[in-house]
Amino acid sequence: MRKQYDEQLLQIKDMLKEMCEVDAEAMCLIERALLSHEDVSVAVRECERAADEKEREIERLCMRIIVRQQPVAHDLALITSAVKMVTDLERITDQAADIADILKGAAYCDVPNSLSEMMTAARKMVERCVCALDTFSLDEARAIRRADDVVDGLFVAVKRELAGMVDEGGEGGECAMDMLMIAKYLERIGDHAVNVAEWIVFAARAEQE
Amino acid sequence: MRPELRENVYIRGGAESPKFRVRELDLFYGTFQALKSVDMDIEANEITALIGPSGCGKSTFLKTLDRMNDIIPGCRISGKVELDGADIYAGGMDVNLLRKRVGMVFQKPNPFPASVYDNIAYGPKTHGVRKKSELDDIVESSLRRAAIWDELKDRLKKSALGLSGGQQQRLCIARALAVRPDVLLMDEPTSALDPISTGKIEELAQELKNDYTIVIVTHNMQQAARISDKTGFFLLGELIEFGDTDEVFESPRDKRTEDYITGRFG
Repeated sequence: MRKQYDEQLLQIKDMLKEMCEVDAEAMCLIERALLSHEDVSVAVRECERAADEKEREIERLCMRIIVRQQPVAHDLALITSAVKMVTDLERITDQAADIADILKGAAYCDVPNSLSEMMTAARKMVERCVCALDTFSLDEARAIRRADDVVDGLFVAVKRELAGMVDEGGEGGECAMDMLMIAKYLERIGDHAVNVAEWIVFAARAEQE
Repeated sequence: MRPELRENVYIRGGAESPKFRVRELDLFYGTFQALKSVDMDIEANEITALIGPSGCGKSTFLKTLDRMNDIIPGCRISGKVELDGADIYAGGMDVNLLRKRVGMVFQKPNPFPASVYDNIAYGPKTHGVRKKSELDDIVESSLRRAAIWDELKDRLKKSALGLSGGQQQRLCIARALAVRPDVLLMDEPTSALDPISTGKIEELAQELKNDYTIVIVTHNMQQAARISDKTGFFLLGELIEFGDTDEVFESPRDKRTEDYITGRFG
């Protein structure tokens, strides 16, 4: 019974995963730009637009399900988490686009090792979100929380490395400022990924309990 | 000119060719006006839900679609009700043929006090089907379409009155389908049923809309929201609002509709 309703709930999960895949794509693009100085800003803006569109679609479908199907119990938990999660998923592409813009105009300098590590760690966190959204698994979601500790640790290391560059002044100093902004955005992206994971836990627990 | 009402003429939906086209429909019971200038297009292969408080005219409106009001003394109707372009209130309309094309399911399941088989076969028999094998086929296909064949296939000779309420209602739907209508009118078909049976009827209605046009009167707004494509809100004989169910429930245009669907009415 309630075939259409069940299909709509599955559709919500699929759409969340698709939105997160867009985030992951944006993360791959900026990682490439950071390492190769390639201009990816147009492609990342495209991801941002796609994520905005997905956000609206998911919100519309959630609204429709609430109005027409009156979800309760764990179905309601899923809808609630979807409505909250899309905000975080949307912020990830926004911040990736900001990073792409900074990289486009950034003064040339060597990227600190800790920053490229941080970039990779943040990208992996977002990719983990895609897996977690595929299964709504508690283990995956918890692993994302743990990964954020790594990103936060790297942020501290980046700051330390950049402080040295600022002290040296000149072009290196200017570049260091840009790198610091990027690091801060990556740190925020990690936090958004954790939020996504927490909403997955909320929905998954409701389903399991 | 004699109106033409052909059997099983399927005209696909679209604003230009609704299944029912109702214009300026007024209905009086004696001096009481029960419907006030109702305009509505009912599209083929959709579920149209009619909601509104008791006495608002929604059941009366439903009955105008197969001329069930004809039998009520003192009932007067003006305006137009066209089925596939033919005015069903025009002189010369074959009412039996109309009711064969437009089936009705009522609030309380009302099987005949006869066997499951005879309940289904009765309609086709009165329309001239005599061959046993043909009747067998109709009984099976009707019960299958009403999603009750598996439950009843071994009880075809048993009395229909021994079935549960939910089964009786699906039997009545099967009985309505047996004469191959193209419209199914349902007057609060689940208000006497438990939630499980209600769910089965709702599921069934959604499957049937692929082949039939369904109009359902319901007191249950959530039911209208769950299953219908279009929703009409009636109040004091007027059709206050009519449109896509999503729009009516998400952003009603009329304050009275909003008050009713949010439970603030009255």
